[in-house]
Amino acid sequence: MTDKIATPDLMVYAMASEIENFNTVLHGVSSPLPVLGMSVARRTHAPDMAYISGAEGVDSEIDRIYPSSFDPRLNRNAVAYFGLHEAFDLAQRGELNVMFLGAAQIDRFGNTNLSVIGKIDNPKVQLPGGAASAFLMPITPKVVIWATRHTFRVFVEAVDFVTGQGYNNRSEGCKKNKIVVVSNLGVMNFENPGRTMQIQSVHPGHTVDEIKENTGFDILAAPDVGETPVPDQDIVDLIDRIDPDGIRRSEFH
Amino acid sequence: MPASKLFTMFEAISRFVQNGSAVALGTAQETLIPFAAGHELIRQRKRDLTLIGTISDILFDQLIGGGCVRKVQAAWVGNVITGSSYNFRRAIENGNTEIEDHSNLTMSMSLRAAAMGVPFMPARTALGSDLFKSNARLKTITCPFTGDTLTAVAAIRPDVTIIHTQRADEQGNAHMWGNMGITREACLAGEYVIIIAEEIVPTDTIRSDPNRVVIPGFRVCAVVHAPWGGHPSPVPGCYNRDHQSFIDYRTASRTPESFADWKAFWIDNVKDRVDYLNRVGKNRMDRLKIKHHLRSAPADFGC
Repeated sequence: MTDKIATPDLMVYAMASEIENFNTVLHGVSSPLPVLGMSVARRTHAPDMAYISGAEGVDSEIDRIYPSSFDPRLNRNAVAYFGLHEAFDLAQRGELNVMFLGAAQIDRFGNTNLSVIGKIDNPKVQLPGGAASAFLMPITPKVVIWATRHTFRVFVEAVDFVTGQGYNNRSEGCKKNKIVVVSNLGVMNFENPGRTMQIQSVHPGHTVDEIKENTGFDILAAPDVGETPVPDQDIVDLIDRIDPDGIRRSEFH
Repeated sequence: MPASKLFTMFEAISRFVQNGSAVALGTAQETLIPFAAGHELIRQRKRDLTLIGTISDILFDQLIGGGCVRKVQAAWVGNVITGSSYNFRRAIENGNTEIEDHSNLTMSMSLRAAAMGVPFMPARTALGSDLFKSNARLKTITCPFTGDTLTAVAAIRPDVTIIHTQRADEQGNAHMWGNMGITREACLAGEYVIIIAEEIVPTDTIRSDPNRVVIPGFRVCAVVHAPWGGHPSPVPGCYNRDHQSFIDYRTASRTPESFADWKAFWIDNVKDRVDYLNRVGKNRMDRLKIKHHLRSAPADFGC
């Protein structure tokens, strides 16, 4: 049955697994997979997490997701509204544990680019912008980057523009913070002395070699590389219930 | 009784927004975006505006396509459910419009600094990001107390802040609820504040719940009554997000020609808000209207 689990569901489960109980967790704009990951975590292993929506509701009752991750319906029955700027204040005080961020490009040190492809003064493609990345990347104890297209165009030798700071662009104090990358092929981390990206686990049906071939820099497998854990049917059903329209699949086209 | 500040949309925009103004609009992320006011800016052919916002969704793209914009100060500009937006990309990639890249936090700090009347705010981060290269309003400083290296985020003072709210009285005392983002900071920072309200209510309604006032009327210069003025963005308690509009807009804005057609139908040839709503259509409005009500319990302000 393991090979029957769809990639988006596997990624949602991998992202949910990065959350521990009692964590304070935030998601941002255009983030259907993080919204699902956080919802799954809260309904399974992390019932006491503080769920802060980018839409500003705290611990809302999320029956289902919508095409926008900031839809006001994601705030239904919130216990409080907590302004996004207040969530950032929380991060500055060191009280935000986990944040989910995207990347149009990511490099071996974990630098992310959400600003521009090409040169900043002569852009080939102007991207929407980094939103929270430049601020939250270095100071959040755990940042989970999701990437639905693991190719050498996304996993590049060096990003065109550093929106979010990788380990070579951080102060010593911020180097202890973790980056985890969840792609459509596997899960990557930076848990080695050089703080470079390595393969932590490979999704069922994929291989270390496939990840290497689709990565634009030399990437090694961690010594304890394994297979990405597969969610139980209960969790797959839960994801289906929260996302009956399959919005999670929209990022894979 | 203080004088009424009630204006028509045409009067409020023509009187308080000049060519070259810095205008903050869309300060609650994807919610309560003042689309009706933005469309009026396009109709009046305002030029050389600086747009200030956090996540402005497609309104900034429309203003850019309308030729109104010289500069954008924002954390994220696009079409939230479909990604990049085309007028924005064309304008930046052709070098017609300038972008000052922010993060959500630096944007809110810039407005908070202006609201507090100080030249900058210190932040613990953004250090190491290339935002420093593209945004002259970010500098590093040494904290005089701890010696830490910090980011100084320069104040941004909008000439005009335009917000959309659920209700206000004629003096501009405005009730707002749901997620509000940095709306209060933007209202405190702005030289002029224009309130666009779904409903104009008696002052007694405001007085019954003064904690819900986002900005008191003494800081407001104009109030405009514009039911559905936030469409297609959502307004909690009134209507939901019109996702189809955003998807249609993505297709319509793909080329300058198709955008011109879209703009003619939805902005240039629209006589007033009633005409706009006729174009949206009753069926669509019925679908979007809030049916799932979640009312708050009244608070007793007695003493």
